[in-house]
Amino acid sequence: MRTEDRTDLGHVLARGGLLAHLRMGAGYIGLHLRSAMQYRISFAGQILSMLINDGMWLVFWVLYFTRFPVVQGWEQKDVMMLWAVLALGFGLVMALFGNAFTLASLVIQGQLDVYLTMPKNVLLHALMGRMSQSAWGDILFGILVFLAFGNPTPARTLLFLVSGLLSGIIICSFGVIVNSAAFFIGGAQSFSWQLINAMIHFSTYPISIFEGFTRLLLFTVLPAGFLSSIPVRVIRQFDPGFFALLCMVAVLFALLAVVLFRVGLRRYESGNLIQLQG
Amino acid sequence: MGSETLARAARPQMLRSSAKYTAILWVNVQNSLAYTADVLLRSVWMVVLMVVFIALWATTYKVMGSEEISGYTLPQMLWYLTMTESIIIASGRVARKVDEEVKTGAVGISLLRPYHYIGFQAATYCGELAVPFLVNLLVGAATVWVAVGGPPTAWVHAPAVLVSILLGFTLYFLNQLCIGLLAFWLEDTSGIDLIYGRILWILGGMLLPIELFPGPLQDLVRLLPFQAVLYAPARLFVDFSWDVFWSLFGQQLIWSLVLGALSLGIYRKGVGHIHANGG
Repeated sequence: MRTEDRTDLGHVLARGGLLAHLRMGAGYIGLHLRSAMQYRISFAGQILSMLINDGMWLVFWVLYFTRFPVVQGWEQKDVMMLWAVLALGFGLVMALFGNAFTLASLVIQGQLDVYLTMPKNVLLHALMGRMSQSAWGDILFGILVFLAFGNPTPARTLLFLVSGLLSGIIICSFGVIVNSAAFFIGGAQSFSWQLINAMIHFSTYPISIFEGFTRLLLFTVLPAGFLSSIPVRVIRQFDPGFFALLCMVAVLFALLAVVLFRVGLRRYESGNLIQLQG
Repeated sequence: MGSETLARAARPQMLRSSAKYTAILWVNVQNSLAYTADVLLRSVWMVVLMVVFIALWATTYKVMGSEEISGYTLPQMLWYLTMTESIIIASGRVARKVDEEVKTGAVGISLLRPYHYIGFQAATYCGELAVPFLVNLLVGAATVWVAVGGPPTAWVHAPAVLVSILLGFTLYFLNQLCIGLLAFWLEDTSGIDLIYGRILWILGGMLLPIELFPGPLQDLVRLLPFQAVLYAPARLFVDFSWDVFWSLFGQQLIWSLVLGALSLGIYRKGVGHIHANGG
């Protein structure tokens, strides 16, 4: 079977194809969680560590906004929502698609072979092959911050969850796009990590502080601008136009990720690495 | 007995020891230089950090309509953050390495070798941080220089600032060593390491100079050892005065002695727990 058939989006969406992949996803989540629960104390420790890690950033922003209450229209609660949405989106990506940021390593080390031999979409399968245990800390953090600071009405809760999902799609897609560089250039791991870290880091700051070329960059090549704009333009004051744009950007990035991965996979060469897949 | 052997025996023990650790330090510096491209690529992260800080603080100063905030001008603020970030990025994960070596028993093996384990770790740490620190400082400095101009301190104060930087690195190393050595008793020290790192972000003044903290918190933070790691050298770098230098130098020295004694005590206690099985 040609690799193109496995990566064909049409195959995924065909009758039974989508359901089969959803069942695979559910199976992987269950497997990863059961594996994590074998060492419950360690799992709980990872979650707690991430809660502390994310919490410290909020401490910084509390200190900052205590001193400077309003900066370019942003207040403390806006940054809280920003962190809540980003933590939820990032956590969902790392929990469900844990290989999103490490695809380059899989490609370079020839570890895609095991996914090529299985009757499932290669990209989805490779993405789901790993779960970051600490990502559940990010998810929990996002939910807790929203509940504490987000004035959680049913409408706002829905907007929060949808925003988290859209930001997760953008983050995951960006991860796949930059990691797909490994199909074309050799040592892409460092390069892709730098770009992903840069995007995440930029998106944790109010977008209104950036101007000129930086701002342009953050709404094009590095989609941090879209992620950073969500709290104000989706949750605080719903802007249907921006929301529609956000959905379009998420879909575009997802499509670009799939296409780039597919094009890159044609160039993939097996490393003849013997692997066991549980 | 040959003359060379006699000459070697005549050299004081301390000199022979320092030559050992200097060699270890130099080997680690050479290791860093062997992967120059990797070091340079990693320094891109420094550019990202400084671009974000420039945007944040330029906006903050513009919104406040003031040239000075808590005694810091915009150039001072950005050069302060350049120094704190350069120190913390270069500092490495000593606790994780020591934790691993305690758990695998590598610490026990080091007892057979002609060096002290703490001395070896210190020399390795110094060698590993030298190149990344200089590269990150240069890259960060270049970024900030383009935005706001040169560093606000006179070059004549550079030796004193350097002393403070070295003491900051020393304190970080000793803190990390204490945490890593707790692996003699704890299954996993990564949680403590993480908490320490995050405390350093805030109470160490990495993200915000201490002068911007609310009053009571400021007073508390000045009593704690965390500000001696990052805030002290960065503060002296951007706003040097001999009064402040002697005050911060005193704090750094005292905490270094305290943490040095503590780490030595933990090490000696921990080494007593080692059971080596031959084979």
